[in-house]
Amino acid sequence: MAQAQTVQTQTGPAVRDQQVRQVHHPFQAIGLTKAGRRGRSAVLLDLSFDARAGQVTVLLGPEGSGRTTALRLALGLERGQGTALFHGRPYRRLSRPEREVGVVLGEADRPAGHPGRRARAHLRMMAAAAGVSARRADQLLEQTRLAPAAEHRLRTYSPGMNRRLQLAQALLGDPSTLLLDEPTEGLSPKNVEWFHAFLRAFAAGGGAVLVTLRSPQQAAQLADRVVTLELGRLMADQPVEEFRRTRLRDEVSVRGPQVARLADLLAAAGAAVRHEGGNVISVEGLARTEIGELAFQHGILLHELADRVVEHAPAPGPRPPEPAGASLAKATVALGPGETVTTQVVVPTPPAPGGHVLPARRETRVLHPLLFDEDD
Amino acid sequence: MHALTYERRRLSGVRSSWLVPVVVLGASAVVAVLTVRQGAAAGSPAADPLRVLTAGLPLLPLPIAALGAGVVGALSAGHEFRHPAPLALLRPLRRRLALLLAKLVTVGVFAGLLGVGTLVLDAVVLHLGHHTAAARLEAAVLHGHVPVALGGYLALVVAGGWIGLLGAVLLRSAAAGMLVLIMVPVLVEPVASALLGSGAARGGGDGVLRWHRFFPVDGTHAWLYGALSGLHSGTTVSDAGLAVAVAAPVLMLLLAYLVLLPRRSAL
Repeated sequence: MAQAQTVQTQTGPAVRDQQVRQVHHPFQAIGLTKAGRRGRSAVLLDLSFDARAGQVTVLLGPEGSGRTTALRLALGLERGQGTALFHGRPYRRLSRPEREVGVVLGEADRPAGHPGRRARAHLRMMAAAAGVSARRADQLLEQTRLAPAAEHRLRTYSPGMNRRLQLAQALLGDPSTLLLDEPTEGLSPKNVEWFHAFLRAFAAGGGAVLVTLRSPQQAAQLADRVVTLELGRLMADQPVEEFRRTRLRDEVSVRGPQVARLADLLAAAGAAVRHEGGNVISVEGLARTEIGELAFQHGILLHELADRVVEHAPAPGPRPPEPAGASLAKATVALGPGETVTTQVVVPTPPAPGGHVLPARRETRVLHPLLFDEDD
Repeated sequence: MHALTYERRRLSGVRSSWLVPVVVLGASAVVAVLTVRQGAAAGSPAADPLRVLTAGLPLLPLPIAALGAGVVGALSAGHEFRHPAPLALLRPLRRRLALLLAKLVTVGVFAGLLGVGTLVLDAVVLHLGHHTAAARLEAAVLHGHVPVALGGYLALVVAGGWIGLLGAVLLRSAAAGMLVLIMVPVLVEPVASALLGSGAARGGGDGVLRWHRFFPVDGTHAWLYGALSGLHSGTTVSDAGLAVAVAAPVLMLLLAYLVLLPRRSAL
């Protein structure tokens, strides 16, 4: 900042602007904090991170982790402590905010505007509010693939279309930074894919993208950088490669009538096998082709063989009831070299409602493969 | 930001801006026809041509067109609260001011057109239904003597639109804006008579009686603004007094809003 100030005193406004852009990131959150109500713990505690030009930054966290609060604080829509700077300026100080920052907030299942309006009329109206021509609105309808439905009323729009219209709205001023709050939540896989492609292309064009997400798998697909939030605290801020290495693992899901036999063979071959219930197993440590070959060699019939990416901490879901205490020691031993401090803090997940409570979260991660090794 | 373009596109894109004029024109034509017939049935003194033109109803505190303009104005403001524009497009102070001005201009023009539309339609009704009265009025208009009350009527319609708009902006809801519009004539009269100081003398009674006269459910009550619709107002206020009575609520609401504007985050 001090550097930018000295530059300002010496040079003209255009050069100054250029210098400021070079010094500051498109988005910089500094100590965003929101106190909890009535003595509850803070909704968001001292969150600092930045989003860089040409990158997709994902703010990742489960529901209630404070991602949306962070965005709303950054935009000045909520009161709190800390600040967020867009190219070195708070949002309310931007002279033409729509030219610098495009924002997609709100839910996908609500229309982007008055439900009785037609999409083209609505977007043209917003174009006037943003001070751009109606042609730009039509162009964006094409770009978001809404042109065929441009004359339909907003109440007939699906969640995916709502989201794309909201995106078109945010893009009207041709901003260099995009802020999106769960843009892909509740959307069909095809729409999710389209959104990912669009945001990646936007970043590739030199823009900065900040997206909040809940799903680590989506984050791994979309992000260049992943900022993980948990209960309002910053847990990790890592490049996506590191994120993938520490938070996710590849598994192969195998289904068939004789998987129990296959599980023994796989375990003998050194893979970690986990029963998913019924006749499905998850295998870690062997590639899909190798499993297929092994099954073929032993004449085992398979119905399904598919790659999957799962979190290190399996989501609390249906688990076989196990006496958890027995395998604690083994579980700790089995923590591989890949387990770093970062992953350890990232892991906590709320215990499954109704399910039995495991003694510690850390063990749940590796409990099952080991147990099933013994079982089969 | 092109606030006027925005407001024009907003107004033309919602159904209410087409429905309201249709309803208003239809209702005022019906009232005009009924007024003409009532005059004809009574035989004696024909209905005041002015009352036919403005479709004045003794029951309503304001002309139908003013109420319609108020609905459009209130919806115009209510839209920004029910379907807010995506974030800060409209958040900086100067933009909110520009938007308010654009809304005032658009609603004003809309209300003016609505008023002229009702006048024209009712003039046709009058021409068809009551030749002699129409002929006299037409001759006067041809000679350039347009009744002042017609100008007052148009001003009242425009003011109705603005009161609806400003009321809705102040209270952040279209329904509240309509309530303000309906409350204004009720509140203006006691204030006006208190200010003029002559109300008591003319009323000839004490305060309680006067209050009773202002009770809006009373069907025979003569509204202050009625003078602008050819209804016989109980109070004989001068033209200047009427102009003040029309402009004062608008100005007061505008001032109240301008005081609040910098303290608000949305419109």
